[in-house]
Parts: sequence; C-alpha cells; structure tokens
Amino acid sequence: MRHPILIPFVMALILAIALLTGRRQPSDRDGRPIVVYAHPPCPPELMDLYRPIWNEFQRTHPDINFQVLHITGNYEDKIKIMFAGNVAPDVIFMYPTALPAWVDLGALEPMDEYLARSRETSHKDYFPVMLDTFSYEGKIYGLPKDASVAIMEYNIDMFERCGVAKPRADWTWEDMLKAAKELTRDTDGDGRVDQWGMNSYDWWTFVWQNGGNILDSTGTRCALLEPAAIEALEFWAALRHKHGVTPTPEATADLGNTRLFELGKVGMHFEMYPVVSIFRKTCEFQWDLAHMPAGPKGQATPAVGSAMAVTVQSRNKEAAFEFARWMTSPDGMLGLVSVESPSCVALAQSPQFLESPGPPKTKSVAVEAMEYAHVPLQHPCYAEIIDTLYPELEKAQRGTIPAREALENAIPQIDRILQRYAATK
Amino acid sequence: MAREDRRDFWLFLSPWLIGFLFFGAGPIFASLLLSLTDYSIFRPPRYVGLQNYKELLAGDPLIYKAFWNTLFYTVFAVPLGTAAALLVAMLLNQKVRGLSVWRTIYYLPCVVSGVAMGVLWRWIFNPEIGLANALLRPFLRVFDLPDPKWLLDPNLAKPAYVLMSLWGIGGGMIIFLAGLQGVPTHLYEAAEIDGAGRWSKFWNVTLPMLTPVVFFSLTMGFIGSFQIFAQAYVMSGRGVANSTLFYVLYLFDQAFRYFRMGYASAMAWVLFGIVLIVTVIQFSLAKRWVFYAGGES
Repeated sequence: MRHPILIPFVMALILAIALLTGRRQPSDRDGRPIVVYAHPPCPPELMDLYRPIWNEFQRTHPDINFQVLHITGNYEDKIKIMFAGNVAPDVIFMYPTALPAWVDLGALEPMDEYLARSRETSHKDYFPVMLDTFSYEGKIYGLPKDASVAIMEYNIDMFERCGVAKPRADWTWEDMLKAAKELTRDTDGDGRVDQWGMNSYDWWTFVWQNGGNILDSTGTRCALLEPAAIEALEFWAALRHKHGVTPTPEATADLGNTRLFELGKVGMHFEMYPVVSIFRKTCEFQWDLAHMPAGPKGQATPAVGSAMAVTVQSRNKEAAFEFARWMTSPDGMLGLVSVESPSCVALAQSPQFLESPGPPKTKSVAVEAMEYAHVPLQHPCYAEIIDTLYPELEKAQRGTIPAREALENAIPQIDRILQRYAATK
Repeated sequence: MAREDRRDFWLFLSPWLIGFLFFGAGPIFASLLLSLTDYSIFRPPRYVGLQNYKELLAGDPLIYKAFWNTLFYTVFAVPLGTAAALLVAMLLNQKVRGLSVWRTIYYLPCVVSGVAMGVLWRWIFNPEIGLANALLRPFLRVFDLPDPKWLLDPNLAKPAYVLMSLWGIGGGMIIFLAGLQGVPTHLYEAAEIDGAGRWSKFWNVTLPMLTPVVFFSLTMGFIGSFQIFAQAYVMSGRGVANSTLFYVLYLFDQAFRYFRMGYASAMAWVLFGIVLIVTVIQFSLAKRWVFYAGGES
C-alpha cells in the first residue's frame, strides 16, 4: 500500500467531524416538531408523579413529539455545556436566582408575546408576584410552575408540651421571639441546650420585613447601609448570639436545620412548601403551617418556586411554549398538588389543592402567603454578592462584630462587583 | 532511521500525541488566551488585555486571603508530611513481624480519593459526634477545656487540614523506604567502626544519602499542596470567615459559580507562575544540600 496510515487517519477524522458537529433535528420523520424538556435530578417518588403528567401531555398533544431528557449531576452546568455545543433543550427548568444570569447570557426566549397570543392562558392566570419573580428587565422569561415561598412549619406537639400558644397569622417578630425563648431549653438535663425555639430564616427576609432592600432601585448600588436593613440584620444576628433561640453552628454542622426540625429538636422551621412531602415521612410529631411573622414594616417572604423557560436555541418555540404553558396550568400541575403549591391561581385556590390529603392541615397558608411574597434579588452576579456578604454576616451572627460593621466591611466589595458588571453593559 | 521505522514511530506515538494536543496542550494554551478575555462560556470571549491580571493583583482582597491560606497550609503540611514519612519509613525498614501488613496500613490512606477523604474527615472533625473529639474528650475534661470546634473555628480550620494531610504520608513513605534500602551498608559499618551511635548514624549517613529523596518529596509536596481543592470543597467550603478559602477553591468559584472564565484562567496562570518560581528556587538551593551518591551534584 502506498500510504497505509493515511486511510485509517482519514476515516478517524471523518468520524470525529461527524460526531462533533452532529445537530439535533427539529422535526421527526412524520414532520412533528420535537420538543426536548430537560428535567433536573429528582427523587424517585417525585418521578412517579411527573411521569403520568408527561404521558398526559403527549396524549393530549399528538402533534408534538415530546421527549424528556434526564439530567444527572449539576443541572445548570450541564445545560450550559449543551448551550455551548448548540444542542440546548427546548424547555428548561429554572429557579429565580438563575434567571438573571441566563438572561444575561442571552439564553432564554421572552414569553410575553406567546402569552398574549395564547387562547388558553393569560398572564392573569398566575400569581402576579410569581410572574414578576421570573421576569427580568420588563420581560417574562419563565412561566411559574410551583409557587414555593418560604413559610413556617411548626411542631404542634412541642408547643403544646411547653405550654406555648400556637403561632397566629398576626404574629410579629416580638411574638415569635417570645415563643422561641419559651421553647428553647435543655430537655435531658445535661447542662446543654438541645431544643431550640426556631431555625433562622434567610437574612434578606428580615431586611424586607423591616422595609429594607439589598440593592437600591436602580440595581447598581448596595442599599444595606440604610437603618432599616441594619436594624433587621441586628435582630437576625441577635437571635443566635444574644437570645440563643436558634441552633448552634455545631448542632447544624452535620445534620442541617431541616433534619434538626424533623428530629423534633426545633420548634419552628421556615422552608418552602415542597418540604411537606419529606416531613410527612420523617416527622413523628404533629406539625402544621403558619404565616411568616410580621416585621416592623409588615410580612415578607422570598418568592422562590420554579419555572419552565423556553431557550433561544429551540427550533420549535411555539411547541416548546405550549409545553411550558400546559405544564404550569391546572392541567399539568394537578398531578403535583400533593407535593407542590401551584402558581396558577385557579388550582391553588381550588379544593383539589387546599383539601388534598395528608398534613399540613392549613394548606391555605401557602396560597395566602402570595399576598406578601417578595421578588428575590435579581442580578447576574447574585452568587458573588451573596458569597461576599455571607462571611461578614456570619461574624455578626456569632456576635464577633456588630451588624453595621459587617456591612461596612462587605459593601465596598459589593459595589465593586456591581460597577464591574455595569461596565460590561 | 529507515523510512518504515520513522513511520512506525509516529504511528505508535500518535494516539498519545493527539490526546495530549487536544486535551492537554491545546486547552492549556487556550486558557492562556482566555485569561486575556472576559468570557462567561457562551457569549463569545471579549478581549480585555491584562485587565484580569490587574484585578487579580490589585483589586481583589480575597485573592490575598486565598493565597495566604494556601501558603499557610503548604508551609506546615509539606515539611511535616516529609518528616513524618521519613520517620515511618525508618520504623518500617526494620524486620518486624507482619511488616507488609504495617506497610499496607500506612500506604492505604493515600489511595483514597480527595472527595472520599473529605467526607471521612468531615465526620472525624465534627465537634459534636466526630471521632477526634470523642478521643480527646477524656483528656480535655481533666483540664476542664472545651471541645475544639475544628473546621468551625477559624483558628483551627487550617491546622485541621494539615493534620488531615498527614494521613496520606504513605506515598512518601514508600519512596523513602526505597531510598533507605539504597543506602550502602558499608557506610554504616564504617560509621560503627568510628564509634557512631544511632543518632549519629542517622544524621551523618542516612540523612545525607537520602537528600535526593527529601528534595523530591519537598518539591512534589509543594507543587501538590498549592493546588489543594477537593477536600476543601467537600469538607468546609470557604470556611468560617473564609478561613479555608484555598486558592484553587476560589478559582473554582470564579469559574463555575460566577462564570468568569477569563478571570479564573488568569488565576490559574498566576498560580502556575508562582509554583514555577518556587520550584526553580528549590532546584537552585538544592545544589547546596542535595548529595547524589553517583558523584553528580
């Protein structure tokens, strides 16, 4: 042979090119648009709920070839890699904190026009705060699926055992603190406190409950050095270092706050609604939901939840939107009411959700909390901002420095990050 | 070489060479170029010149914290680890019963992956239920001292990592064992004739003959310790008050949490530069204290 190495080399090269530049086809052999939805890692019990829902979508939409792509590992990293390879899915699952970064990267398709044109669903069908949570710079980028805002879960048995009045809808910070103090005690007589009144909740919730904000209205400067925010953070920090009503860092270190509540060591816990499916299995005491307490300027809680978003790389955006719309409507969410509180108003206020079986008894709290839910911090540099604040606030929480000093340490860094980002625009 | 030999040479070399170019040298060179850009994965990279380096050297207070943390860890972990490996190698260079079992026990920890190591030691260092405090508690009670908080105490977190690093001295021990067995016995006999005791034999025969191994262990140790990441990612993250924010951990956050690939690439190249300088210094100092028995120096 004249060039024995040449032939295998050329074949290998062709194979490499074919593999590396393969693109997904937009339509299948019957001409139906293919919609690929990437689903994040999910426990098996939840998968058992999702599968019939997806089958139902395929059954009611025979003109769409609907496919679910199961992502393992870090969801956002994998999706970003798919974007980089030009093989992004049509519909992705999204949390509010991820939204600005996705939009900034130009990855998502705005949904305002699709929603306006839709005959089945309009923006009025969703809780306004949830639509705002998944909007950025005036456009809607995600259709809210579950409206999981942080609410209180409390241990009924512990309250009764310690003779403390149950939480009420009109509770204030002072009421919560008083109850927490009465619940905090040493139950086994070894000289160390092993039962705490409450788990702390996010420090920014305290700031909102006192009328403060993390960023100013322009979103270019940090607004935490205002008196409202400083007072709120001092109250938050004092819960641990002065009143001792929240678990010690050592107690939290291995088990985590949620597990401490499940083990009956904490009286009041603050987490989003979907935690109920875990508590139903793990809590051996009676528990129920209650509203967030009101700070001096009222109640507030971060709107979290998740949304369905359509990617710009989708080659079948109408069909992709149809899946996002259907999934977040009562048709799709009905299958999930046992574990999630829906963002579509009609279903959330219906008996199917409010009277679904299993604890908690007072599911209406999850829906009423929509009234005072607060759009979370939206900034593409969210992770960096929170990472910068956290070590300083942690010092304040230990009582090493006052909250004001923690903020004074962190804010120049934050302003630098914000300015650096603004300079790239 | 004959034409066929040359062809065969390239044929056999090509799989490794292609792999190295595509997955090694290529990405490394690309990261050098990326360090001059602002790049967040799928907006195209935007050229910004040396801005990343300027920000790294002058505008980022956490960089110095990260570097200090890494330096602290390295300065303690590497010499202690080398000394401990040598000590254990000397102990296991004697004819004791079950010698291969002992050597296996000491070697086994260093094959454990960084992540598994981190998970295990996180439990060990847990202040409430961990093994460390369970063993220490009886002694602490005698002196009425509180339980150390280990990873949750900014002053104890890095020493905790140094302690953990001593668990993996098995690799160094193996190399020292080989070195010890290479020391010619006639030197020990000559020393005995001159009336040398045990310490004198160690200091005047063993250690000088082992200086190449010590040099290797210190150099490789410094290069590896500067890059500590997996254990920190699993055990303590940045730690209380950023006390365990190691350099590569911070690099990881910049790349994969904040999506600043250009800045992270600049960090990687600065780390390379620092490690290179330290290694060059070690090599030039080596001429003074490393003795090669073959007569080279």
